[in-house]
Amino acid sequence: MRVYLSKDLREANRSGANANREILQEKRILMVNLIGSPGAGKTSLLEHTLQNLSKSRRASVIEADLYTAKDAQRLEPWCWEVIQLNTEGACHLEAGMIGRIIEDNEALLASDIIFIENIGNLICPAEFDLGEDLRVAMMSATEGSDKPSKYPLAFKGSQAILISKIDLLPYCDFDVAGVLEELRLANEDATVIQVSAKTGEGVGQWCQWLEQQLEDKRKRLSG
Amino acid sequence: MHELSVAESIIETVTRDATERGFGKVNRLSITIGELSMVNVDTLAFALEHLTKDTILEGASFNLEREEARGRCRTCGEDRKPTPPFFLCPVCGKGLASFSRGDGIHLDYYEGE
Ligand SMILES: [Zn+2]
Repeated sequence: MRVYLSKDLREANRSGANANREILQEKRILMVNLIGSPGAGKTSLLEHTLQNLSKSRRASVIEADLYTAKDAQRLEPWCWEVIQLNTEGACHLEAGMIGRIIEDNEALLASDIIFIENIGNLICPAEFDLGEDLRVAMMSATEGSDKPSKYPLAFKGSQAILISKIDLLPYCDFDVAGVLEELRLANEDATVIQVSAKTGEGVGQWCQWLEQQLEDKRKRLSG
Repeated sequence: MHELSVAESIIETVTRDATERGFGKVNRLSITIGELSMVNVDTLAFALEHLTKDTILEGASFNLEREEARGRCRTCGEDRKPTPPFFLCPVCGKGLASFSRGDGIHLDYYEGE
């Protein structure tokens, strides 16, 4: 007997993402999903971001790591709350994993901003909405200029794109103008910010952008 | 790269439905895989074959169809087949506002007994 299911496999993730979005709305929290390849410098950038934001905001991190707690320990001094999520080999996070973490964590829900450091990978995380307000894709100057055309969807669905490690530009074969042009093709609406966690360049601009996004969300919610 | 977890959720969904209907065996399964879903059809076929061992789907044939992306251009408003790698309108060279096809993984039907 033939049974027609007509089922979208991503339906479960979509409803999980919507549930997360509702919680975040009620608590007036901005959630940022940070994706990028391994070694793009996500943790280093978060370290600087948290130092900058923690003066005025309660900023928390959900840190996805395959097996270790190293990155979470690194971020702890600057976090309002840090959660280590060991994914044991999974290639991406799903909305349900985030839902189980946020739903009854009072400290986390008292945050202004929650960052999710997704698993180091530009392919799979791009496919899963976690219920975040903003998805941010990160690529480093050391990774080469072909990232946007190799992983177009990661950049396409992001509200901001960070080019990191720009202090290393003099030593890399990285074509900034070419990459900016490709990013514009891939996603003309995205805000592109060049940053260096080493020199701090661009970190201020990035934090200002985040502050603005948080204010805008709260304005929308009260208006 | 997430073909394993896709295969797992396909097997879970079909097993649950087939068991509820009292089937002891699933012989055939048809799935449509959108071009934008980042799932490699061959890898998924391989994963399905291996993960269905000792389940009611063991030995089933898998019909995996790839679906091309389509979407509405934000500039000309037409439904187009976008050009890779950036999935732009082939006429305007601009991005698409939304995709109407090719961004999902659909379980179409299965045959059980
Ligand atoms: Zn067009």
